[in-house]
Amino acid sequence: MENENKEVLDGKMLVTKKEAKKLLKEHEYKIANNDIDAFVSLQGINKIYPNGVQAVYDFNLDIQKHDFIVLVGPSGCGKSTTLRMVAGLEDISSGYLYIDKILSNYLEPKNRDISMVFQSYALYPQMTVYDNIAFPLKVRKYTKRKVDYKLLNNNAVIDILNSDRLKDLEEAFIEAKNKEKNKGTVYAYVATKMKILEAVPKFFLKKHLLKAEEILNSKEALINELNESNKKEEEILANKNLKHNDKFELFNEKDEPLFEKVKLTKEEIKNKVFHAADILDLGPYLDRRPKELSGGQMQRVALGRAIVRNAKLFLMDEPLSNLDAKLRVQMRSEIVRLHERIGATTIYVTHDQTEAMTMATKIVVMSKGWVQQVGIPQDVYDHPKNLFVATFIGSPAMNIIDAELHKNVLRFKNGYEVKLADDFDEIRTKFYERKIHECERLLKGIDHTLEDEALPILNEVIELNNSENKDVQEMLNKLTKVKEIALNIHKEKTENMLKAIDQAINIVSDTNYNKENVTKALEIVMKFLEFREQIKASDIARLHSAQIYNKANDKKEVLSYAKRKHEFFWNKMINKYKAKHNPIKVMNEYVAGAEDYIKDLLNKFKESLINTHQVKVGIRPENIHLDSEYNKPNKALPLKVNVDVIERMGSEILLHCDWNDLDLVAKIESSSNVNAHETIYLTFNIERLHIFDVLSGETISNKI
Amino acid sequence: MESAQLVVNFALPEKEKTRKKFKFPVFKTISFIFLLIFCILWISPFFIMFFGSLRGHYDAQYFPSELFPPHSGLTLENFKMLLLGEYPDDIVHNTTTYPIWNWFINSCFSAIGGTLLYLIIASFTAYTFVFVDFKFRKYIFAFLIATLVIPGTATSVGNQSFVYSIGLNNSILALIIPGLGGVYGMYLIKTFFESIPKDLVESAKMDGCSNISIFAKIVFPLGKTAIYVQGLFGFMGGWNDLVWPQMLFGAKDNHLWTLQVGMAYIINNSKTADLIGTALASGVICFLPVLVVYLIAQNKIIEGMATAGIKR
Repeated sequence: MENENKEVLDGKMLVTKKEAKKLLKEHEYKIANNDIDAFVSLQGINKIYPNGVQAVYDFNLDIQKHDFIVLVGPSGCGKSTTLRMVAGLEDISSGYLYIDKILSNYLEPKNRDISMVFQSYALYPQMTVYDNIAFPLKVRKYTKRKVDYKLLNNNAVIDILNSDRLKDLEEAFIEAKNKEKNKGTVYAYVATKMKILEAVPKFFLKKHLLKAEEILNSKEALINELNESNKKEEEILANKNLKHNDKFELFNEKDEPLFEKVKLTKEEIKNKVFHAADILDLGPYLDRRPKELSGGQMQRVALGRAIVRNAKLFLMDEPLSNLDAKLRVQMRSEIVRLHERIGATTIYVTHDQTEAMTMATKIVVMSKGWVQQVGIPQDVYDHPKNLFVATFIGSPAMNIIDAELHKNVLRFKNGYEVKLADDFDEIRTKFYERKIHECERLLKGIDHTLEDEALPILNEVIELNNSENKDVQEMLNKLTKVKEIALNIHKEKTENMLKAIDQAINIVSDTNYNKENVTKALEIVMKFLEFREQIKASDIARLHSAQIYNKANDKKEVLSYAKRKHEFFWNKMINKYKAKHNPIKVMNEYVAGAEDYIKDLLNKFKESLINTHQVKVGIRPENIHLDSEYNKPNKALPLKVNVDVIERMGSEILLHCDWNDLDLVAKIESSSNVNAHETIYLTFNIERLHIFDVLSGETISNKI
Repeated sequence: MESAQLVVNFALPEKEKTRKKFKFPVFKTISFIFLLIFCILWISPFFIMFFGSLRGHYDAQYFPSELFPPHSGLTLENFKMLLLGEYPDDIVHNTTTYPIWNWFINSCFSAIGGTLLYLIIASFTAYTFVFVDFKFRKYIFAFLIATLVIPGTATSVGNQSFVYSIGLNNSILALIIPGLGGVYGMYLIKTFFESIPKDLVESAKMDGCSNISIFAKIVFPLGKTAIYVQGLFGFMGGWNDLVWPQMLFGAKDNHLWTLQVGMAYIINNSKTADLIGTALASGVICFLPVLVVYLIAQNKIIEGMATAGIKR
């Protein structure tokens, strides 16, 4: 009953502005969108820093309840930024974040009901472990049933007086005195010992009645006194039209239960902290300070602080990267076990792909601010979407070899040939057709010849409107012409444009011809025609895997940065100010010469579709075997290689071989008998090859 | 065999030590002598002040060279003259009574009240600059720092007319109000707050703290040393300040003066040889509270200076 939050506003409600303000305040700015199924939903999230650097591009992800999501990528890929945006520690530049159906973009971190584990643990050095874990409970206020404490306490004392536990009470008081507890803690000690309310020992301490005999002697007088005070309290309640049940929880006149926001009592906090400490085996360290703990223990305290509040969402920001290798493996399994036990939805950020593979139920691979692939770990491992994912996931990394692809025959530099599956040519054709289609669609989107055709006609109409001798029929004719042209424009906004033109025609053909109205209507049409779409960086990036696009554009960025350095001081200040105050505008910045770039790309795709073309071939080290030891179908012809280095890992052997001027890595069984600088024959399963398109870096496959 | 060798190895250096000749520590001795001289030079004004104040007015007039022990023994005559206004019968030419208790209270108000108020303002400002993100933060801070280069004397006339214009011409509040805008202490506290990991504050935010409770529960306990140090500096500055109170109230009712202004007046007023003791006694009265504060806070100050890395 503790965490009963207020009702959340329905986002679909229609109210006036004033009411909306009032309602929002009443509901603590919580608005729900009931159309969202996922527990956490990130929709088109972008992050642009005030200096104009974009850290996260178009992040879309749905997270179900009890999921363990791992965001993984090299450092600086925006994974931590994404996490901090979910936590509320960074602003979201654009996009929507829903947590438990509540729009959380502008919610304060504390109102999101999230707990987070930091890389540095962020333990408060001045507090003991107990206080550290109890801190989130002490700070927060919880909604609880309103109780009349006077009645509750009085009745508790009466119960004790009528019971036969007075002897125990005396003993507890003596014990507390013997332990030299000071006055402030005696009642707490007795209360915990006897498992009674703190008010009871307080009452006896106030009356200086600490011995059972003395209490028994004045028992009746005490009970009378308490009953009288109860009566007075009941009268006060009756005056306020309040009622209570036998647990002294209050109701108003309509029998609705009353709630109030209060902090947890010491006892409740204690129980919760002990429970959390129990889960994490922190019992013996509760009264130590963080600096007296080892790294693993500090980590566990940080976890304890996260779980003690029963938050609905856990965020972990590289929690294991400060630990040594052995502890890391141990904590890894501990966190997984914890997740299974508590079941809270977790988002976990790491740069370590092993952590990602072993812990996640769903993995999100990121690079340079772009999501590369989302999926269950095994799927990501088996079917990487592009070159980046293929090389990032898996240790040792996948071998990437240049080759030529002719229909379904791969030809390597040294003449070695592999014949792929028969249907591969079909897959390849479909892949490139898809790419060409995308390019064409983009180019069509930014083709403005039709608008250019329509604009002068519209200008004529405006002139006619301004001239004194109006020819309404002529104007209508010209407007219909504009409409005919507009019908052919392929764009998302055509619908609105056509509406605007229709409206203009209506106004012109109206019998009460009004010059101003016509001008307004024409201006709207003008706006639509003058609107010029541009190819955005995000379009090209969507077409390519992000990292390839960025590689091509790295140089440009460097150039503009160098230019920026020489800017006049004042301009610099103004630009900075602009960037800070129009963050969305920076995102819309289009790539200079994007149109040419896409045309170029289109031509290359078309060429690839018809001719022999370059590809990159990927094969994982564990899929390369010794020719003599491998006897399975789909086996490729043996490769003759020279072994450079042998790394014996104990469980397996890593071979570094020289093939095609490349360092080919193979993982073979430890029982194999191979020596360095030997010539051996290797082979692999053809089905295990990954073929990547050079232009986009994407895997050539059926999957979109 | 090995263990025997080991024993020999360990024994050797000890034997050498005993054979070593005694060498006179020249450098140490010279530095010690220098230190002693400087100590005496530093301490002598205090010595003269302290024992001069305990010397009777007759001694000061006729046996000026006999400082310790005084010619006719130690006496509290000078303090009685200052604090109680009980002048000996043979002093007739200058028997002014001074409202020293008033001055003392004014000084305490200026030093302690001003310091506490300033600490609250400065630490809140420092917290805001370090942990709260708001518009133009950098520029506002740069502007504040720029005010550091303006010397206090340059602004004092402006401050005075400002304080008079808001109607504080006869209120001791005027002593502390301009000082509250000081930047140096805020800057000192800010640099110390910056060393507190931001993760702690962010974590507290996630745990459900408001800014004030973050300040009270996390930042203040971790940054107290800087606040202590600034508190001491503020106290010393407020206590020792002469120019500002003199400017404000020097020409006014002497009930508004601080100890320092009063002391300057007493020194001026006791130029004759038989009243020199009162001037020295007023020095002792000014000096004692600072000494007490220093003795109490000594450890904290040294620790704080070391951690905050401050020289002044």
